[in-house]
Order: sequence, then structure tokens, then C-alpha cells
Amino acid sequence: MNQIPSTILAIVILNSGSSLVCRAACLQLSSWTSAQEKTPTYVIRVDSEGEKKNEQVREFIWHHWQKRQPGSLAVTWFGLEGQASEDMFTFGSDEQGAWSLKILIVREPRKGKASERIENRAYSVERVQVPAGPHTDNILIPEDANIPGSAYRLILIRTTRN
Amino acid sequence: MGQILNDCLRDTFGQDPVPNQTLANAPRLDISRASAQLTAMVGQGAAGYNDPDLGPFGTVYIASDYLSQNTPNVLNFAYGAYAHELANILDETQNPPATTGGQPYGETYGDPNDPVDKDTGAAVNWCMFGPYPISLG
Repeated sequence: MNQIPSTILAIVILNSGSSLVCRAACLQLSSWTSAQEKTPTYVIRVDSEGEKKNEQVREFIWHHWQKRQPGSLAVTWFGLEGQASEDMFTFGSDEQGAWSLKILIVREPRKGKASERIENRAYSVERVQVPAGPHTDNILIPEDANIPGSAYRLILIRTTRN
Repeated sequence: MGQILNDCLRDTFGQDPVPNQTLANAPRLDISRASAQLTAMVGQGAAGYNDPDLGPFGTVYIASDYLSQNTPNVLNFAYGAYAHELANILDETQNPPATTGGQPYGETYGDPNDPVDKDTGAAVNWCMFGPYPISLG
């Protein structure tokens, strides 16, 4: 159990299936996206190749957050049981002009439940070290540390404004 | 891993009692189905699933082709997937539909804002293994 525990649910992006998976949700999500750049789209399943793609997602989010670069990212994650969570991350200012990251989650129905749509907005993004083992505390990584997406996890903080 | 699992089950279930998990009360593990068969059974692309009513303590399904991969993380996947589905079984058993205020079945103790999975199993995985791949705080 010395391996990185968080790679338990390894995931992979399957670009070939993205259009099918994302069709309905992306129509709903498209109003959130900026026309300033093409929105990268990822479809991620539980798979042994997936961590590489998660690294890209983390790096994209961290880069845009740090550089205060407007833009958006669409990620469809499939959970262990196959339920899709279609997430749209949009970087920009809120109504008061504060730099923030808007997160829209659209989930497909599961075990007879209805689909749902959840909106959040983060005002801080933290990088924490990959846990050294099960049930260990999160260790914050300095903002100026230049490390790859494989070396950290991201926590999007909703309650604190910069 | 047993102590960590039990600690995290207690953390996740909070005030609600959760039986200490041992081999004696462990859900049955069914790895007879490949992911394609599991997907056909579940109706969506699943690598793991559960049936809380099959067997004395429920049944955990994990896709056999995921377990047979020759990768460094396959054992971690097995631990995490079993813990995930075990937690869901405990939740589904203790909180059947329409018994505790209308909470989503199997998601009583999950984080509704989790970007990937909001069920109780995901919350236990988070406790055991930390944020993955990203988390809302």
C-alpha cells in the first residue's frame, strides 16, 4: 500500500466517445463557456490509463487559476458504478468582480433518481500533496512551486474570497 | 487497511452507528463478471456495483478485467472499489428509500457537491485516500 492511494479510481479520457456522452449536457452547459477560447472536453472513465488525463485536468485548472486566465473546461467523469457527472469549469469574475471559478455539475439519473444540476463557485484553489498513505492529512503546496499535475491534488474552496 | 476502513466508515456515518467490519460480516465479493457484463447488468458503464440484498451482508461486484490488469495500481483499485461498494451497501441497508427524510438512496453520507461521485462510497474513499481527482472544499 505504498502506491499513491488516490490512484485507486484510475480514469482515462476517451475522446472518441466524448460527443455522445457530452451531447445533452454540453448543450446545457454551453451558455457558461467563454467564446474567447475553445473549451477542451474530456470524457473520463475508470481505467488504468486515466491518471494521465486527470493530471492534464489539474494542470489546466491550476494554470488558468494562477494566471487569472478566462476560459472553460468540460469534463465528464464516470464514477465506479458508471454514473456520469458532467462538469463545466468556467474561469472569470463573479457579479462583484471577484476572480472565481464557476463549477456546474450535471448528473445523469442513477438507480431511478432524477438527473440533477448543481452550481458552485470557488474563490480559492489549493494544491495539496498526493497523500503519502491512507487517512493522512492534506499538506498544502506553496503557490510558486512548479510541479506537474501528477504530484498534487486540487481542492476548490467555495467559501473564501480573495 | 481494516482499521482505516472502519475509522473512515465511522467518520463518514457520523452519529449513525455502523457495525465494525470484519471478514465475518463482509459482503460477498463477486468478480465473475467482466466490465461488459457488469455494464449490461447495471445499465451503464460500470466497473463496480453492489446488491445490498444478495447474500447475508450484501454483494460487491468488481469487474474481473479491471482486476486482471497488470498495472501497479490494480491492488489499490481493488481495495478502493471494495470499500466504496461496502460503504454503499451499509448506507443502503441502514437507510432504505423513504426512511430517513428523503435522502438519495445510497448517498446519505456522500457529498452532493463532489465533482465526480456523490455517493457514500465516494465519501469513504475520500476519507481513506484523500481528494481525487479534484475536490470541492
